[in-house]
Amino acid sequence: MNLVGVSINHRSASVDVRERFHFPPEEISEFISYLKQHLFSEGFILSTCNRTEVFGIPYKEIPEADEVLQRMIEYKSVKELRKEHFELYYSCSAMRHILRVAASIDSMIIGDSQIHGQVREAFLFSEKYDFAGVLLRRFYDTVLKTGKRVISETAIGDGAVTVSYAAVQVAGKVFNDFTTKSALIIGAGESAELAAAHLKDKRTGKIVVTNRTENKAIDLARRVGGSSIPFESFKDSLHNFDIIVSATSSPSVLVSKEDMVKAGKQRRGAAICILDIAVPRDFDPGVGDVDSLFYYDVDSLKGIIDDNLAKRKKEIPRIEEIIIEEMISFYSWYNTLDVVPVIKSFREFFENIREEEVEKLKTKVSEQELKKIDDMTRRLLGRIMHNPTMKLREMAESGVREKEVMQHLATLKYLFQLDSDTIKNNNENQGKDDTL
Amino acid sequence: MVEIIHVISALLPLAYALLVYFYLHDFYRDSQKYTRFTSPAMLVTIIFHGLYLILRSIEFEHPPISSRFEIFSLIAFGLLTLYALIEMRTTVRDTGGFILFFALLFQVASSLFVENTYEVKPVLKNAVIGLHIISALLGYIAITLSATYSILYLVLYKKIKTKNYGVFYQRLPSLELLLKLSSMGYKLGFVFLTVAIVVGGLWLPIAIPNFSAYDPKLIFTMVIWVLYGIGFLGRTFLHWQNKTLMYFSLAGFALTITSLIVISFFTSSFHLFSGK
Repeated sequence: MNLVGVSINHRSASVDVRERFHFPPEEISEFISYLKQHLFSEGFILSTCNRTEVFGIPYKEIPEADEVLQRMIEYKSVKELRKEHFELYYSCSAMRHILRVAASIDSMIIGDSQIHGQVREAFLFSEKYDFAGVLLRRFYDTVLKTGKRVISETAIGDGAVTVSYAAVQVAGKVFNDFTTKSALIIGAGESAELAAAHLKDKRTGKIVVTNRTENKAIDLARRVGGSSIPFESFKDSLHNFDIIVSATSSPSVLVSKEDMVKAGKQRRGAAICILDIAVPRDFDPGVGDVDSLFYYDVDSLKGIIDDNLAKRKKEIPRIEEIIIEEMISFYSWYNTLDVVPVIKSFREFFENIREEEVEKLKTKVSEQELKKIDDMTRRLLGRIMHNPTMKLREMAESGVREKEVMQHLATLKYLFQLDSDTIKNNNENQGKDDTL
Repeated sequence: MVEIIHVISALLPLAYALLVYFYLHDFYRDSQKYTRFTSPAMLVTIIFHGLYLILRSIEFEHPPISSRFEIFSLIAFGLLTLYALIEMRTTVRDTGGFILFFALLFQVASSLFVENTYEVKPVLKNAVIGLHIISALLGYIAITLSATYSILYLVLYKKIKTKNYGVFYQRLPSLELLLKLSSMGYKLGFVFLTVAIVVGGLWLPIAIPNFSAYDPKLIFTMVIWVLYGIGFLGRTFLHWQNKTLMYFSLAGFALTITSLIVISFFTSSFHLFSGK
C-alpha cells in the first residue's frame, strides 16, 4: 500500500516545536484541501498536544515522503522546523506506526486512553471533508479493531498513571464504598479539579471544596455537584471527612500534625485518608505516624504510578502481536483489490450466459420446471466457479506470488473478453462490498 | 459404605489443598490463571464434603459431632461454605487461599485421626448437648474467619503505612472490607461462644455426674470468652482502634488453637469429664 506519512511527536521534537506544527480543528479542513490539491488522494490528520500525524495515499506511484514534508513545512511557514523534527513513514511501517499510535503504546503516557477518541475524530474529519476513500475506510476499520482488541485483550489501561487518579485509587485501598464517604478538596487548581472529578466518578457521597479564593471553590463545587466551606475555618471540620485531598500552592504547611491528631480523636479512631498532592506539601508528613491516618504525598504516589507504568510496558509485546495480526488481515484484503473486481466480472460473464439460456426456455417449459432449471444451473455454475475463484483469491491474499496472480488475471480477461469498464465499476464498488 | 467414606476422607484434604493452591498461586503470581477453576472446584468440594458428612451420619447412625476429629471436619466444611458465600456476596476472590488454608489444616487433622465411631455416649444424643456443640462449632468457624481477616487487615495496614505496593497491596481488598469481615466473624464468634458456654454451664453439671469446673477445656474457653468480651466492650464503649480489635481477635484465635492442641495431647475427648 502506498501509504506515506509524516509524524512530529514527543520523541522527535520538544513541545515548543510541536506546538508550532499543531493543527486546531478549524485549520484541519483548510489543510486537507491543500493536501488534496497537491499530494494525497485520501488521508487523515491527527493533531494532539503531543503529536501531529499527517498520512495519506499520494497521487504519485512512487511516493516521496520528503516532498510531503517540504509541502507541510511550506504550508505552516515555520522557519524553525527542520527535517530532524519529523519521522517519515512508508507503506507497512506507516501502517504499523498508526496502529501503534492508536493502540496507545506510542503515547507519552503508555496506555493513555484519550488517543482512541482522537484517532476516531481524525478519521471522522477525513470522512467529513471527502478525504476518505476505499483504502482509508478499510484502514480505519483496522485501526478501530486494533484499538478495541488492545483494550479488551490486554491490561494496557490498568492502574493509575497520573497523580490525581493515583491519589483517588489509593483511597480505594482504605475505603471500600465511596458512596458513604465524604471528601474535602483543599484548593481549586487543575490537580484539585482532576482529583474532585475522579472522586465524583467514584460516586463519593459528599464532596466539599475549600479554597483561598472562595469563588473558585464555589465554582469547582458546582461542577462536581458538591458544596464549599470557607478556607479560614476548614480546619475546624477536618474530622467530618473520610478523604482529604490537598492541592494548593501554599508555600508552607497548612495542616499540622496536631490538627490531624485532634481530628482523629474526634472521629474516635475512624480512618482518614489524606492525599497531599501539593508541592510543597500542605500537610505535616508526620500525620502518617498516627494510627488511623493514612497519608500519601506526591513521592509516595509516584511509586504507584511507576509500578503501573511498568505493568503497562509489559503488555507491549502482546500489543505488537495484535498489530501484526491486524496488519496481516488488512493486507490479505488489500492484496485482493485487483483480483476481486476481475472475479466479479468473471462471474457476471457466466451468470449473463446462464440467464440468457434460462430465458430462452421460458416459453418451452412450465413455470415449475423453469424454476427447477434456474436453481440447477445456478448451483452448477457455483460449483464450476468455486475452485478457480477461491484459488485465485487465496493466491492474492497470501501476497507472495503477485506476478503469477497478475498473469492469471490477464489470462482470464483475455480468454473471456472481460469488459474493462465493468471491472473498473466493480473496483469502485469494492469498498462498499468486498465479499464474493 | 465404610470404604467409600474412607476414600472420600482421604481425598478431601487433596481437594482442599488444590483449592488453596489455585487461590495462592493466582494471589502471589498476580495472575488469573486458575480463576475460572476456583468456583467449580469449590462447588465440587462442598458437594463431596457434604456427601461425606451425610454418609458418615448414615453409616455410624449419628451426626458427625461425636469426636473432635469429626467436629474438625465440620469446621472445615463450615469455613469452606462460609467463604463461598462471602465470595458470592462481596466478589472478594483474593482471600480464599488464606481462609481455606485453615480449612485444609482442620480437614487434614480430621482425615488423619478420625475413627469409625459406632458407639456414641448417651449424653451426646441429647438435644441440649447438640445445641452446645453446634454453637461451639459455629463459634470456632466464626473466630477462625475473624482471625484470618485480622491477619490480612494488619498486613495490608502495614503495607499502606510503609508504602509497600507489592502483591499484598495489589491483591487484597480494602481495609474497610477486611475490617467488616473480621468484625462480623468476631461478633458472631463471641455470640456463639456465649451460647455454648451458657448452655454447657447450665446443662452439663446436671447431665454429667463427674462434671468438673476445673476442666482445662472449660477454663481455656472461659479465658477466650473473657478476652473476646474485653475486645468487644472496648471497641463498643471505649472506641478502641481497629488495629486493637484485630490483635484481640488474633489472641483469641491463638488461644483457641492452643487449647485444641494441648487438650488433644492429654484427653480423648473435648472435656476431661465424660458422660456415660
